[in-house]
Amino acid sequence: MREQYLKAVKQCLPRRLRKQVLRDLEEMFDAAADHGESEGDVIARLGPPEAFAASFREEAQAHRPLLPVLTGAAGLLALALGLVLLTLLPSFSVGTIGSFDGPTQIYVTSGLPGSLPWWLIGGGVLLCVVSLVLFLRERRQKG
Amino acid sequence: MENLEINDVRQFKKGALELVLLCLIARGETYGYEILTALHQQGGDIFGGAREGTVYPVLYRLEKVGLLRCRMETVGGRSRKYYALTDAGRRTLGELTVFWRSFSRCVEGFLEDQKEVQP
Repeated sequence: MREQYLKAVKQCLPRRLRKQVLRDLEEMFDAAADHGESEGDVIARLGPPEAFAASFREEAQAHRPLLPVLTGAAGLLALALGLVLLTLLPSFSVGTIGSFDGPTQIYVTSGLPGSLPWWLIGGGVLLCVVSLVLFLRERRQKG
Repeated sequence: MENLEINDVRQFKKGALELVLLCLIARGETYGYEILTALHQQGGDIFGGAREGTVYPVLYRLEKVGLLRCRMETVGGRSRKYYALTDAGRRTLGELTVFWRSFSRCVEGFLEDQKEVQP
């Protein structure tokens, strides 16, 4: 009965909340049992597993770690852009005139210095690292 | 009471429950079941029942913003999470207490006026 309830709650929880909520849920059942409550009593009070899990989801959603996600996304974007430019640029410098649209070629070759992809890649990696650090710090605070 | 289940009242309860939990934990280090029992004994059912699903998410949040700290201890072979106020928690509780007093005085004043108009 208790195991079933725990399993059902687990399925309704996002991964990052599972460990903490399930641990505390175990304590809730144990403590209630120590005070003479049956598993049925506890489950009746907790309510349906979906509703119980939802109360934690709502709370966590209000405090979603936005900053790490944003920096991570920006980093990946810069990294991807840098890599794309890096693979495109050599073909321009070789001078395969005619195989590309004129305006595109002129824009890319004249607008972008050769070091730009490397700056983008470097910046992207840096942002990803910052994002990871922020994310790990957030997790540690949660315990 | 069903009419009161609008979003504003939910927010209202949530804020008040934070204050109540801070007060309760300020009395001394305590753990989940003890918190629920104390809440129930002092009429805390008004916050949507002195239930785990109501109390724990608030505890998580108070811990996350640094007002509470937890400590694990093994009692009778079972791990138990003890909550205590941090210094920031104690300070916040003081500030919230002052705020709540003036808040309720103000609201109370309006309710008194209302009583005179509509007996």
